[in-house]
Amino acid sequence: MNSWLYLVYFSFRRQLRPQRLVVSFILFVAIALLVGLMGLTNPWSVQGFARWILGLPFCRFFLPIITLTLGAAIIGDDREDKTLVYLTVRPFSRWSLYLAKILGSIPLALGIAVGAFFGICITASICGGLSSPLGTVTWLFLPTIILGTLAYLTFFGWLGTVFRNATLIGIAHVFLVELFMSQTPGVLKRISISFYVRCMLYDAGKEYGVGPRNKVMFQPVDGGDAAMALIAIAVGFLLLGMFWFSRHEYRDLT
Amino acid sequence: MNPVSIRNIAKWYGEIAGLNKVSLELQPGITGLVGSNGAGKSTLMKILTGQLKPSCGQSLIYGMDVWKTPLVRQRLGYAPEGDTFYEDMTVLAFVRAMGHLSGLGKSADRFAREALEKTGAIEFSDKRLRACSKGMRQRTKLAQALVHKPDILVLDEPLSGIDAGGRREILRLFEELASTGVTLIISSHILDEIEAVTSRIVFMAQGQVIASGCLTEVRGLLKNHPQKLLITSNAPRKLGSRLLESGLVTGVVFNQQEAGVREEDIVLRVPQVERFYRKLPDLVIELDITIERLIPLDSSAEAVFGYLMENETEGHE
Repeated sequence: MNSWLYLVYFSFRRQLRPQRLVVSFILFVAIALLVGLMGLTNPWSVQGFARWILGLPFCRFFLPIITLTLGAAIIGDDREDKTLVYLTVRPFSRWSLYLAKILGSIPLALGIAVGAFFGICITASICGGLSSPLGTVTWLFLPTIILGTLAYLTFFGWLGTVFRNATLIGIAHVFLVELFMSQTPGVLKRISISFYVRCMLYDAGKEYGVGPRNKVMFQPVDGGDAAMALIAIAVGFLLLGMFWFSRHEYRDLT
Repeated sequence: MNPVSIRNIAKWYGEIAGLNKVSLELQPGITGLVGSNGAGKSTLMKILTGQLKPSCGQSLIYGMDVWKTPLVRQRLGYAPEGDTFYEDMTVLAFVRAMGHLSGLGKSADRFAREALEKTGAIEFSDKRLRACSKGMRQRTKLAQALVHKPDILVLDEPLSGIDAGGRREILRLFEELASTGVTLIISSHILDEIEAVTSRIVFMAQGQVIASGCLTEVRGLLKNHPQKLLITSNAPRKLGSRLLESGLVTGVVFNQQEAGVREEDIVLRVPQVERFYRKLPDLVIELDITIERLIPLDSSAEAVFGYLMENETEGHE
């Protein structure tokens, strides 16, 4: 058990690569600048902030991209660097190895996502005078950010176990599915994670008038259902990743 | 119970057989794994360490299937052939981390230092791996394999990249470990060095074990390749003709132009070496001659491997 807990810690430490943190920081600064500039010209309302910042660049671009850089690296980094052999030769079952690596990545993914979320909320509050108290807004949307992060991370983690070039496939997924397809009318958008994130977001902020621009076209699901869907996606892809990793051989280990 | 038991293993990569019906029983001590590139050595080692799942058959470590029972890997140390590491870590941090992952807990630091001491890597333990030379990296790789003091060590080309002096040190370490009951499986293309530490060799070609056992036994089984013996005596011609007459040798060569062969030497082709050694003293007495030296010329691992490969090629033709 101790060695497995060490593996969780070791995986966390391996994820703390400066390049990865720099990417997250640059994206955060870009969104924070956008929030600041837009807020200076037109003070933020909760509705506008949720729709134009959280619903669009934050949940459909920032979250997928940072979780992609972390998720695809869970197995991908070790495969790429051919260091997976040092882990698979240790006394862990494959599924527990995968689980430890995912658990080691969650604190960093949540740290970046929640930290950036707090950061842009503070920016909106300072520069754009957010119409509701800062604390209320952040606590309102925090569960959405957490569940969205976990769903994206486990999905990209699974992608990293299946494909060698998971980052490229992940980027294509972000642009095609999370950004483009989630905009399309009809039920096709329900295959995107961002759909459920937005449904949860709109539901959480409905008393502040937060919602989709065109409810008929968007066809949202209930916030509770969206939360359940995100939990199911997170748990489902975690289990799928564990199963896949335990069955799959990596001939390119060394 | 044998520490390592490989039963009828095959490994297919699509239509290509990486290993085909390999069975081996390995005991404590050093076993050399010899074969050319693509012979299946690395595949066998990966199956043996639970990296790959055999298409059929079983790889057992102390009676437990290594693919299905991860805990048994606690008794196993593996140094892969590839020169890959967590480059940003220091040598000590890397070996210590591997110790932690092998379940050493708080003792990981002490064990890591011990392993680095043993492999001669302690002097550069604070150096980052990306700044280490090939030789330093090889020693580090060895240290991580033996940090948790495993009962079985699987080492894929552990001597490559290490200078001659360093190789001697590492081979001494292998002998030391073998003397304490550790089972070492070492693959190497430097056959002389493998031969220096063990006579127990497994020869592989085209995914199969073509011969295994004590080197002299394997050599003795190569009936179609009579052993070459160099003999120096005070009456080479007399001895040569008598040996031919007795049927103990099938050929005698005088003045063979070969390194280490002198003018008064004769090279014999001996089909049955044991019989030859039994009868030779009688002949010496009979002829009243003296023998100065008697050296087998082609019983080295390299020569045996060459003959085995020839046999394989002929067999396939």
